[in-house]
Amino acid sequence: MSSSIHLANAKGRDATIGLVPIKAATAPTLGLPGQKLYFRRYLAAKEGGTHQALSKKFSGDYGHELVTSDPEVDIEAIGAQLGQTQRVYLDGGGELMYSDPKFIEVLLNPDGSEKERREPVDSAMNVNVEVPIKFSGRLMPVKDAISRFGFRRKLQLRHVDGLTFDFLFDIAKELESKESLMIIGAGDKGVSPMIFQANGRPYRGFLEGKTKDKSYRLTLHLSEMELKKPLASKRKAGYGK
Amino acid sequence: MAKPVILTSGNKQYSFDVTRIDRAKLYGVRKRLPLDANGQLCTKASLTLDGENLLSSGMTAQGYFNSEGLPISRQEMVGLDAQGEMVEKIPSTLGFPQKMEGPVNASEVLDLDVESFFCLEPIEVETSFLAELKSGAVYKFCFNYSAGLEMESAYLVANDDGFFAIVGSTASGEWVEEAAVYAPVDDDDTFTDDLDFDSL
Repeated sequence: MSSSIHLANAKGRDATIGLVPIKAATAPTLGLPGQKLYFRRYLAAKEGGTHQALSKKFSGDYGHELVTSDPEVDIEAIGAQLGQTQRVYLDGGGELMYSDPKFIEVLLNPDGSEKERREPVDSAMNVNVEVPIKFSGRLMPVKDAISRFGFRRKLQLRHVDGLTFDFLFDIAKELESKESLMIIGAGDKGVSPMIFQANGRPYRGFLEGKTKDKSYRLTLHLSEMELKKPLASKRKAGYGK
Repeated sequence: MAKPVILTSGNKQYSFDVTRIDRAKLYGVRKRLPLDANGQLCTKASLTLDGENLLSSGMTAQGYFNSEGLPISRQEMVGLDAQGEMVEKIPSTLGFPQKMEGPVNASEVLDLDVESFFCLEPIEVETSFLAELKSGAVYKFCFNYSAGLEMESAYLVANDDGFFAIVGSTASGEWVEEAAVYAPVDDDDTFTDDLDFDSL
């Protein structure tokens, strides 16, 4: 994910500035008091010990063999810790593929039904490219923004030098005076979604600014969805078809 | 169906049916399918770096082990905070009345590190309260969809389409002074699940 953003302010002045994700403090985790625990992945069965392989070998029900002879346990291998692995693909016949498969893209409707099949469409990162992310000029009151959009992530904008400090401080001061969020985005009008990595999710951006003495806080709230009822809920309630 | 969300304010009680919503439920999903030369669907597998083992679904397991290599089951483990102190498991709040605070300032919602969104369908709610929500009032309550080690905060909001709960934990950015030095964050820490398609 891009750790910087090329941003233009309302006057069209642009700069490349840093991005820092804002996350809650780490939640409590499971463990044992006073003991360090290690999470490990290990080998539980070899190829000949899977259900399919055993069913084929013993022609169906192999329960008796499991009890009397442990055919699924390779004493030399089972339990071995697994480190890094490489992703590979098995073809339709279960054979290892030595070249990359061809990919197709399937679009599914919210109810799971297939909508379309097509060649994959790649989307490029657009937040730190030649054309800066722009102010759309549209302000949205906080009350409206939080009830219409689901803000799933947020990033803090950070200056990288003295000039960008002035740039961001002025933006924060201007937004604070308006008591609203500024919609920012890609494209000429600043309304297209922002994409932070290749094939990443598109986000709508809402910029919030505050100042305190000689410090500032500029937060980019990212929305990937609106707040609305799923179609299934609407149908149950008698809305729509 | 999940138990309802029950909220109290003074001597009044309101209940809502709750449904989790996400991008997939609203807009659908994009998946990328791998096909072999004959157009048949491929399956994903893993190859150990030494080439010894080809790992398909069902061949691996995972778990916690102590420093002596002995397995530790989840049933033996307890909740520990950042200081290593024990924390009690907090039960789900569904079906149990939760006190509502508010109306609160709408900007409080922006201080949330959001975990999930829920659509709320009124079961027993006064129309005056629903009208107050639709006019922009925001209320706050404690919420745990399932039992866990931490109680989350939820904000009740409304728009023309319905009523929603925004759930998460508080996280607001720092005040930044000119002398503050910016250090880019490791890629592993951010947006790790951010691809716009599911890959089979």
